[in-house]
Amino acid sequence: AILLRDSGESPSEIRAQLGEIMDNEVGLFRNQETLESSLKAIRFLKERFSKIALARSDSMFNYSLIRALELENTLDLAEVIAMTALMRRESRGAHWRTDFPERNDGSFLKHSLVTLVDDYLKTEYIDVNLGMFEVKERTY
Amino acid sequence: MLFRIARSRKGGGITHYDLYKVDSFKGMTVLDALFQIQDSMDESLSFRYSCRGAVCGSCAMLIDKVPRLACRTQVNTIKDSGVELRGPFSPIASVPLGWNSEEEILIEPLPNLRILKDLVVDMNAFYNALKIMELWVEPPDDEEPRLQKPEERKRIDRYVNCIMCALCYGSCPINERKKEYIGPAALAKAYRFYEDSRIDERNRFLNAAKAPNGAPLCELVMNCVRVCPKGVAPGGAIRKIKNL
Repeated sequence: AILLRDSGESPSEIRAQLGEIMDNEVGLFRNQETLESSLKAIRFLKERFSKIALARSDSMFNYSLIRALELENTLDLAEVIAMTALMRRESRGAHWRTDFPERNDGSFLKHSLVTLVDDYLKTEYIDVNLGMFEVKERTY
Repeated sequence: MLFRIARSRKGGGITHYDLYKVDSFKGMTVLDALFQIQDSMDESLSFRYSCRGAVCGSCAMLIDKVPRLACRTQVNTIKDSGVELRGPFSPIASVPLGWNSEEEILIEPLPNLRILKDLVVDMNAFYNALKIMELWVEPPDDEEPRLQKPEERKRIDRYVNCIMCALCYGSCPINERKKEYIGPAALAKAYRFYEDSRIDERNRFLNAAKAPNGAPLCELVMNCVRVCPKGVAPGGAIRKIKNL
């Protein structure tokens, strides 16, 4: 469908903006406010992506098409990353919530699982396989 | 910054060169520049890349007449990088009409391999050498790990670092003249197995390297050592093979 569209913006600006957002606001240090605004911005970029157009090119080694398809997948993953970071109101490993600096095993010793069901994202927490290592706070 | 880039829509040979004006920034690599061209000037430009950090070896190309990785070559260092290749052969020695070598960075496909499109080349001749020489080992499935002392590992360290980018293959005048020559990377890999203390049939690898299409064809030009981005120095291994 991307190849059939005659007019629309190019994906490169969307790619650059997504990079900025993910780098600056969905990186190591996160908080409710910026995650919410980032999630909104990512969803807006997804909207924009649905209207992009690519210049005519040969079908052989069409790397600009490959990069556009990669961006489509990257946008999906970015949305899921921001959603689950928002849900996880604790700090754990490389996920630092400045508004929830403590680790909370009671609520979040779980895997975040996101599944695409028809056209919405189903989110749930599933159990972690425990037993091999003792669960404890990491200190440095 | 101006880039003059070799084009070949249908593959086979370079048909023409296109000139692009790139907005350069501090630390910009040639790969960054190619992305900028594809993003905002010419979506039809084809080139291979993957890791962006000199690990995968996909973006090997001829940059200002020296085979280099686009991701590892900074735009502002190209004009005074001073890599001198020996034994000049056609793709390196011939200069496209109109190239202003002081103002423009020249980008061409890696020599000695067939062009498929623009900067994308057919790597089969390069990979086939591994098949021809059977450069692998097949230990039994149920085997325990074979241990190695650090000093034994040191002897193969250099060769293990090869990322199979084919820059050596594209820099070698013998590879240009003799299509049957298996090339520097494959010979370095054969030597890596020969020198590995964990290998039972070391001589199989030495014999493969000494075959008529292998080390005997090398004239120790050593371009492979000059262009290798990982310090593998295949020419050193070939010299050792010749002396064995």
